[in-house]
Amino acid sequence: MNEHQKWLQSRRDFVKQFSFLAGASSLPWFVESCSSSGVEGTISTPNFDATQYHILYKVHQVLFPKDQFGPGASDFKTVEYLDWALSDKNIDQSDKEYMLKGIRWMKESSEEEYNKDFSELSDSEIEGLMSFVVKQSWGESWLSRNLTYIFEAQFSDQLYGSNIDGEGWKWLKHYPGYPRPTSDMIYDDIFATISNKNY
Amino acid sequence: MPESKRYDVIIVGSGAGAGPIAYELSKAGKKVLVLEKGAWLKTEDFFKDEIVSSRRSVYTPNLKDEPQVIEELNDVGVWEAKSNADSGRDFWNGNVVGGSSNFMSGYFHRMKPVDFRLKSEYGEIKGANIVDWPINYEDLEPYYDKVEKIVGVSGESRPHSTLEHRSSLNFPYPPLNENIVSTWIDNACDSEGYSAVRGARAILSQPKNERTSCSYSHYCGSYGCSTGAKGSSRVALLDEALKTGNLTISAFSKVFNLKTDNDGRVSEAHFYDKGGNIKKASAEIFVVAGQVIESSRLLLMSKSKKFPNGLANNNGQLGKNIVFSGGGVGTGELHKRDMAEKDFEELLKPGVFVNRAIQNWYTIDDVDFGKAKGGTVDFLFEHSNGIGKAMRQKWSNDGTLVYGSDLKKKLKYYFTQMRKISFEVFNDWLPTDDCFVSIDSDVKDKWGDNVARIRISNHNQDIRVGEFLAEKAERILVNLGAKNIKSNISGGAPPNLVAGGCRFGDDPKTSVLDKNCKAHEVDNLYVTDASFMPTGGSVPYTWTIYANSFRVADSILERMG
Repeated sequence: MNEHQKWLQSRRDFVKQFSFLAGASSLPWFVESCSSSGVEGTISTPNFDATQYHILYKVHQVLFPKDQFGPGASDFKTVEYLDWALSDKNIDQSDKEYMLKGIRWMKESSEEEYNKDFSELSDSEIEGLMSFVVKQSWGESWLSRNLTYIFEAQFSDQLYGSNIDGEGWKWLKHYPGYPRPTSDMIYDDIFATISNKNY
Repeated sequence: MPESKRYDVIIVGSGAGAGPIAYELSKAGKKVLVLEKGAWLKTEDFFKDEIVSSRRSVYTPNLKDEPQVIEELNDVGVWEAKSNADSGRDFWNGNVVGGSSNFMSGYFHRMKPVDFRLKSEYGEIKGANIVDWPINYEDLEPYYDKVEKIVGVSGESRPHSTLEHRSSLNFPYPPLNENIVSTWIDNACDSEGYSAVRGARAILSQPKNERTSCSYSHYCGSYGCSTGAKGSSRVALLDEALKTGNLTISAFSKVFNLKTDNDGRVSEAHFYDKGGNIKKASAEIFVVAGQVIESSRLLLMSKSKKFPNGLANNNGQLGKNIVFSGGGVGTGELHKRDMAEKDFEELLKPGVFVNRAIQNWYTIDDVDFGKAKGGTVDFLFEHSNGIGKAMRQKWSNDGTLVYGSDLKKKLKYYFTQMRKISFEVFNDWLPTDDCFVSIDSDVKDKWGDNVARIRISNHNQDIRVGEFLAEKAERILVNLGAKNIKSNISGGAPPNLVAGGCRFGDDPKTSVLDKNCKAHEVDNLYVTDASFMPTGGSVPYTWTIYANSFRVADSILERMG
């Protein structure tokens, strides 16, 4: 089992535990399963190194901040969700590369617009950079794609590990419907489950 | 499945075109084999998970494994073909036991008598290949009635100007519970002088056998039913047929060839099993019901000495004249600030249905517009999918991306202070020479077989009629007090509403199937999904597919004795 598989297995195990612990624990699952440098927004994951993670983390805070209107991207573990989504063996490689390219473009834009590495930007400079980037066609498209993943993190079932305690639903009084999925029937475990069914 | 066993009937596919054949023949004691390319999921396997049901390809193939090629006119009027593995334009529908009937919304309307004689009623339309059907409404009526009782249809038959003849006075199951907006639509229709049709649904309002009634889960279309209330082919027909002991369902069995013998009869179905191994099965009669695009593809792939252009295709008609549902959608917003608080609370009630339609203009005879075949307008709420709803909020009216606190404020309002009401327009998509299925010469699927190429083009008349109907429907939304009313009628092809490709008819030169949906050229081959339809009518197809398949089942039984 390689590192990536181990990480995914760890996540799966946690998700399975989480289904029993839902409501009883508020511990973010990824803390248990990712290496952390101890600095906000600078952990590394299977798809993102610490620099990439930091850029995504900061971008997501601006796209979907925690504010007077409700919870934000960090509450929904959106970068971890995105990392999980990009680990999907069925994802088109070009989609995965596109998300990584966008991070690189953000880094390059920071150097071009502010003569600074992204990691040195203040929060207001990051907001300024994003208001510039969103006017570029690549930027608008890439940020829009990030928002899609943020929404997936917010509205998906708690078993996916991001919409903890259903806060994403509660905030908008969203009715998610019943029955809720079981851990063997969420994406992408469902493929193995279906394949093994032998009626 | 024992490979050597010979069946009376083999059915390719398991959806609405397949279920009635399996049901009737197995009940009559015939040994039936259903070959389904997808998985076999049961009622207890379906959950309300938007990621699985709507955001990833789970019930449909991964487009990298099973692409299709879509060919359309580009901006400069040149045909341009692109694999949907690249474009993402997915034309697959439910590939599991029960097919796409698992995921339908169950809007059930019968076709009307005029739909069976479009050419006689309206004459030639330049650029369109319209024909009369070889059967009429009265031939199909007893089978529409049968579907109501066997599949289970709920509703109430209200008299209105275009109501078709019904042999049963009313539906066997009472209407489903409705939202307060249904009453408002009734009132709005009264004010505008329209008749509000109380829409029927293939969803049980009361239990039937092992199936429980609707749980009003709030998530119906695109989702498999978790109670068995929705009348999928799987739960309503195949599960019943299995009780006879005469039906075998083989999941993960992808048929790629129908072999013919020296007499030109189909002798074997060749298919890939789950492991990709090639298997064979033989039978007296073969029924193809693999959804329109793939049914045409299978027959086109099944070449032999007698059929060098594909099975039953010596007249070159196979795959031709596919139609989609013409029309489009409209929306309006009902805001909390515009109504009493208790009304808004009722409006937000999850799960209960709208179930209202207008059919006043099923045929149009208008001073300004002229005479034409019209269509149906169905009213419904915006789909409940949270991700889908949120995604529609990330763009401003001027097309720029909204983010940050502005987006969150917008979301908060959208989800808690208003509800979107929509309408769908269904009108004929006229068959033309530029809408057909063929085999792509380059792109292959994961088994190494060439994939379907779908050329798509619509007739201008479709848009004209759709816009006429949308304008009428918008008046209802205005009357409801909706704001920000919009409609979008286009020539875009809805992948879940497709018919034709093996049209039935009396003339073997111009049709693939005879009036009993048997191939003119092949004595033991039937096609019973929506492929048989030479024109599509102005309603969703599923009820008609079910009814016709029950009709064909009678014809097969009569022949088999």
